[in-house]
Amino acid sequence: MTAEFFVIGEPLEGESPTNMKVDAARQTWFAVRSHRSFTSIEVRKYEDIDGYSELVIVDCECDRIPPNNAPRIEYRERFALCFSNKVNRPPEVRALRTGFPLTPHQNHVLNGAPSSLCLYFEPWPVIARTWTPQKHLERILWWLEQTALEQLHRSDQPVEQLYFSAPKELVLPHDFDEKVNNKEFRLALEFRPDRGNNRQTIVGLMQRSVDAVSDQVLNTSCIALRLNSVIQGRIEHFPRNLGELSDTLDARGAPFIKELFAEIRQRVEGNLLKVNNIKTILILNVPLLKEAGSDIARFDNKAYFLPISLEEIGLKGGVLDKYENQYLLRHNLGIQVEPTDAWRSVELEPIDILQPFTPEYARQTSGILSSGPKGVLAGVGALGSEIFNLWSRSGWGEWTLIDPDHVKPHNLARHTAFDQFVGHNKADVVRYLDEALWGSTGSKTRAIPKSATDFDSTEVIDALKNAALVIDVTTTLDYPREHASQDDFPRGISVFLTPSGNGCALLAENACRSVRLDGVESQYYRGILNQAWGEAHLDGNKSYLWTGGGCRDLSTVISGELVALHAGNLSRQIRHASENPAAAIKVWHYDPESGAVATDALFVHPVLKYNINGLSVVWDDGLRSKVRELRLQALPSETGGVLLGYFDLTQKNVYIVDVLPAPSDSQGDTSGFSRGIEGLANTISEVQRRTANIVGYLGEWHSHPPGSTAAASSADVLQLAHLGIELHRDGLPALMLIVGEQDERWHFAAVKED
Amino acid sequence: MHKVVFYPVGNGDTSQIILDNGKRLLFDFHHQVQGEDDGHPVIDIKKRLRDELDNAKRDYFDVVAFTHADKDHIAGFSEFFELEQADKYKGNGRIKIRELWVPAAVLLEQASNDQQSAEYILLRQEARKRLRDGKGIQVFSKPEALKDWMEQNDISFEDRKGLFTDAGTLARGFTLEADNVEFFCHSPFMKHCDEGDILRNDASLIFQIRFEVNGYRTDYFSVGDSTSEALEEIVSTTKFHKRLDRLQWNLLNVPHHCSYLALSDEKGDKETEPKDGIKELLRAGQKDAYIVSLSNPIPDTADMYKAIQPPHIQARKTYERYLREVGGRKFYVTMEEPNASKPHPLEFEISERGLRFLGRTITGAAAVISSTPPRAG
Repeated sequence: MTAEFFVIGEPLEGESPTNMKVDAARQTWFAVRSHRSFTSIEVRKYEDIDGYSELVIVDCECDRIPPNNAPRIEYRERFALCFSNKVNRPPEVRALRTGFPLTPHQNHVLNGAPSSLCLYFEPWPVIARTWTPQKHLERILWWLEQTALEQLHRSDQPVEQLYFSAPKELVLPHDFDEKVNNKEFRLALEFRPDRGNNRQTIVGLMQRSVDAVSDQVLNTSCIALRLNSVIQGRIEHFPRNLGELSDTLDARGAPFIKELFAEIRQRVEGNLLKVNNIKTILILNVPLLKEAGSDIARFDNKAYFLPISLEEIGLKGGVLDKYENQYLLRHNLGIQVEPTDAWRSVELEPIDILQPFTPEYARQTSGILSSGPKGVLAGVGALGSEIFNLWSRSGWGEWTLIDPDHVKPHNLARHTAFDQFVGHNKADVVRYLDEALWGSTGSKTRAIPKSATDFDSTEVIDALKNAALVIDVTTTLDYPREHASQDDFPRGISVFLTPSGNGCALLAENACRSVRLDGVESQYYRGILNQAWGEAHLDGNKSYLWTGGGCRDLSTVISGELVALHAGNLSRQIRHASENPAAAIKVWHYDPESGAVATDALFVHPVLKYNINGLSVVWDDGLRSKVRELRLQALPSETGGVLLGYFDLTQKNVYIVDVLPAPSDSQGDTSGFSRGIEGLANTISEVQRRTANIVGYLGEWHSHPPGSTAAASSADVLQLAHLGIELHRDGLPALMLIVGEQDERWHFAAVKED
Repeated sequence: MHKVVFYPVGNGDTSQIILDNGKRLLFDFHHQVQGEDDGHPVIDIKKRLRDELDNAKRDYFDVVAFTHADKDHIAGFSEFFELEQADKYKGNGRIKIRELWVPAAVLLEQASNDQQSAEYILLRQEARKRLRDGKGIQVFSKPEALKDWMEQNDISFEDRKGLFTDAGTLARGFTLEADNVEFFCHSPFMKHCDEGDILRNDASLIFQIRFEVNGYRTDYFSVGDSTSEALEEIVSTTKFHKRLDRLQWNLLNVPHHCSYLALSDEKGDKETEPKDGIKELLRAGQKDAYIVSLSNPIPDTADMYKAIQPPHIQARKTYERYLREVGGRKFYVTMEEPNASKPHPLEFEISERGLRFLGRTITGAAAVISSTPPRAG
């Protein structure tokens, strides 16, 4: 089983390496001599229009090639290591065994010429800076191993071109594979500006045939054909002309030449076409099968530029005639005519095919696996529009945008809008930009220029109820509270920037919504009160957090840099949070000097609700543990302190954020508790400062001694009445929590004026 | 992927099969004290194997096979492995042997002088202990002498029949279905003659180890020490049973550190002319096959042709000639790769793509940082 080898060039006269003229060749000759896997056979030379080259002919033995490799690379292969005396030409490695397989990562060579290995990924001027003959030899071994193990590239891509890159590229529309065979559609081409040297991008669009622009206008005919399906995995050389292309595809079982001529006849039928000098773009769409009989795995598209018109091809193929400057169908009238082969020599120039930008492609490029939810994005201001921009460009989610605002000049500092959009609804603007992003692929984004809390609008309410997820970027506390009150809404996640712009927060309901945004919000405040990061978290607030945190306020000073920074972080974090069914509280703090971003997360406790007199007390398991623990520590004495929280009078809810322990001057014994005042005013004022005045004094709590329930004693009732009267001065009821041996009870006092 | 690894332990044998499912089989053990010195070409086999097991989070081998009890196949084993025979050989980080594989002769007293070392006696005691316990051992062949010894020592042969495996059958515990591998035992075999069955005392374990991954077969013919006479008998017996495929090999480790005596009785000047039966075995090599010699380097120099002790350059020449004839790849020597001053273990990989050698020459910076450069002044 002796192998047969190609012979290139002629033997170099005289001794090697003495007579070798190309430096790299001579260095390589030495490197081969001391390399265990290579054996030098001889040195040859050749001259062509590109100059003089020397060829070191070697046998290479690569132990890392497994014998049963699918491409059929042999353990022992012969190569010509070619070196040109032109410094800008990369060294070439030609496989000389005549049966050397066509594999991925080979350079384009003419049919019948020895294969040329494509060894390097980077351009030669970059490689040359670190190239040594020794590394070159190792690279050949690497190429052989990777190729034998089929780890280089996909197995069905065409061989690559070493000295040639197609000047034209074609972006196929996303629905090309689906509609190419549908006669109602034609591929329309849009030529983008010539970038010089004939380099140009052509963008395709599937258009209804009736709307198609005439070929003369574009100066190009375009013909796209669906061929028979073939089994994938073969690699082809580039054909030089229509004849070679036809032979290659015939051999694969996907002949096209008859279809081509039939299509040409059909286009000419009934039309008197003047002789013209327009060009042709031929696109062949080949369904690929994994194996015989399987479903179509994918489509292979190849495009070629032909320097003559379709009609001229028809003429060469003998299906048209030319008469007085016009093309006519040839009617053979039953007379046998020898088929002409003139079409075979029509030259082909390959056109690179580029994938259109589709959501799948976007996700692949962004490294995102999930296609994301069908969701509502409430609020597309500075933060919301940027988050949406990131998601849309990464193909994540299908979104309905809800926002009642319009673009004002100051928004341009932080919003994705442009000047031309001033005065337009933000929701419409963001959708419009999304349509511009997706082009012919199309955008699935909807826009509702209304308030997300406009539950009278069926449009709004339908969008919210039918979504799988609602992301709240309204930067108000209005929407999340309303959202929480709706039982048939999907899971909600709120994000917002802190007033200084240096921090941001993410609050998420759990997937089953047993914990809702309002309950998460109050636990977030407890974090602000008790965690070190809470000290400065809401700094910069003007005593009102939510609306001031938004950019609606003209005096808000937050740079677009910070919006982009937090938007980038939050868009990813929302994605992660949406994939995790648990409720979440996460905050991030940016250090504007060093650029460091720190993060904290809080455990979200199950929410507890207690209804008294039409008012819902909302608290949570974490807080219950806290008061029970305080009671335990004080036993056998009673203890107590102040309740912290806030009312939502719209929802008739009172949220208990935290309890304070007994001030130091309090007095408690087994029969009662008298809450002191030491430091209390300062503490409450700090509570208000940290929470932008949201959280404040609500009432009192105290514990009962061992063996007692949480029922109010007569003394407790007196205290409650006192509190009720005092707090009525603020128009609010008073609350009292009693912690007994086994239970906790909420008591409530309000003054009735009538 | 399965792996077969041959270790550079001088003129001695240590090799390991690591199956894709994590099981490890060690064949022979040859520790040399000088290997503990970094500057010496011989590997510190204790350290090397311990590191490998540590990386695999194991403290045992599934199988340790001693192909026979010569010093160059067992040296140092009693300090490395946990032995069942006495508490002083247990613990202290000793490596456990789940199953010990030995030829029957190891259990008998009829060992040659060379075998009568202190370590050989420990090996014999260990094998006897495990046989008496009725577990943790597989004995290859069952000669009458061993049965007699068992009877004298009140060990029921009937109860322990399952511990014995005869030549011409597959070793217990591994199947193509479960492990992608089976061990066909060629030796030790019984020679049938008029006086009854005779066991060759000096016969070592010889397996044809067959891997089959997704239907692709790779055969490894593994020979401990053997003589041309014994190998010829294996060939003729295998032919007699019409099991020619059991002689095939994609990987062959040559007997006795490349001694000419495994090919013929005559060394020859330039090459050893193998006996006819041996030729058949060599021609059973497959395309892309490898041969491995577990031995000291075998350079093609004038004085090597006069060497009395193995390895023999004449034998190497013969192996290489037959390897070329069958379209094989290379003849590798454990103490030569990638160089004789600091050889590395030879690693072969076996997969559905067949057998390939994973060795890669380490040169340049990579080589410099993996060893101490000469002392600077």
